[in-house]
Amino acid sequence: MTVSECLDEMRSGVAGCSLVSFGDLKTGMVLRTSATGRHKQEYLEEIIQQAVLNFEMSDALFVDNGQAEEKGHSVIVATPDDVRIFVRSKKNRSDVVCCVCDRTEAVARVEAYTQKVFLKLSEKA
Amino acid sequence: MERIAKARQIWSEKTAHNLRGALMRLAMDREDLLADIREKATDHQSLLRIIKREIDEAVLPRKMAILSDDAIEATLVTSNRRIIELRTNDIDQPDVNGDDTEPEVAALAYAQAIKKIGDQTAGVALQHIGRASKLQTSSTACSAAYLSEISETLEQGNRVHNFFRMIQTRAKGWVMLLSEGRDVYREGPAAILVRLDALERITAANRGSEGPLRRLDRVGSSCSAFPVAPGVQAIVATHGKDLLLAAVLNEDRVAIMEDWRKVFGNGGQGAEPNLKLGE
Repeated sequence: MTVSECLDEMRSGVAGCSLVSFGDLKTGMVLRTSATGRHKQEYLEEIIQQAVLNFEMSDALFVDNGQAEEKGHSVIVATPDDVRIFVRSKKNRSDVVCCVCDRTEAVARVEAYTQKVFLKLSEKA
Repeated sequence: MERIAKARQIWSEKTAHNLRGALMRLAMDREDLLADIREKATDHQSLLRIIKREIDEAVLPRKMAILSDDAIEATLVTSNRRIIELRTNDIDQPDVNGDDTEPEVAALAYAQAIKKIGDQTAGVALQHIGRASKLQTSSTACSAAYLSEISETLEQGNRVHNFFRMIQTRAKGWVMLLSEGRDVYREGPAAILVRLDALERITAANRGSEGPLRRLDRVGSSCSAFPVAPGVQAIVATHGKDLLLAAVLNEDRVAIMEDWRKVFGNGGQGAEPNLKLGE
């Protein structure tokens, strides 16, 4: 299974999910996308920039009391139209999966599917 | 065929009603149309409805006056289905008709002015003055839909404050800035408030920067949840210039985000249409 196929599987497996993309937090680049419709590149970039911004804020403020492994790996951003869930890899902290859904409850399933995507990437590396 | 099928899917009773109304007005005699435009508003809601209708139908630049029985209460310029300018006699009304005004500030000022005129002056009506000339593209241009959305927030009171009331018992600490930062509320243990103050400084710096998110950030409301300590999440809710920062437990974040959507959500109408391409 390729990364793109993993993203397709994730989109169809998460109820109310319309878009899944895989990208790089360091460069802010979207590398793979699976979506129900076509989207402007500008829209995809805005979504990953939202992930970059929120993880930056989280990292700047995080107090881990020496428990680095406890550091958070998911961010939720709600807008009036949708819910954006961002999950980054624990191993390579610049790998991120961005998911656009219609409900916040999707976060647990998104996190579970995302681990599969990151596992696939680590196998390829 | 596929496009026609999709178009049928998005057809709604409201769209049909609006289109029927627009076609009826298009077919009216000139005198009837002028009488229709001069429909008298009984309160600010009916004034807003009349103004929204005129904005929505104005493609070419038009100048209009809001008339009471004995005075011109305000003049407005519409073009390309947007309100470009609104000038009132009210000296307390801030002048937002300039390019250095942020769109949401202008929309809020327009909505407040319309509300004030509608509430204070009985029986005002719109009258076309003529074509407007020498119009420049302005950042303060505001669509009827956006004006309506902003006006709704005036009706509902402060939405960030409403959201805060919903989550207050679950928040371990909070900082809330309302009325463009003039009203500040804060409560919680010192260790949490120090973190939230730092977050407020970062948020202010991000909002002031010219990044790719700048456009999204300006036009909409949003709420973020991200970890700031093991088991603790920060909630950042913004609406225009109002801001709520709160610290909550991990297990409460999903329910809190749903609460935000109850106050600010569009009920699953989907992504912003102009950001999505057709099939």
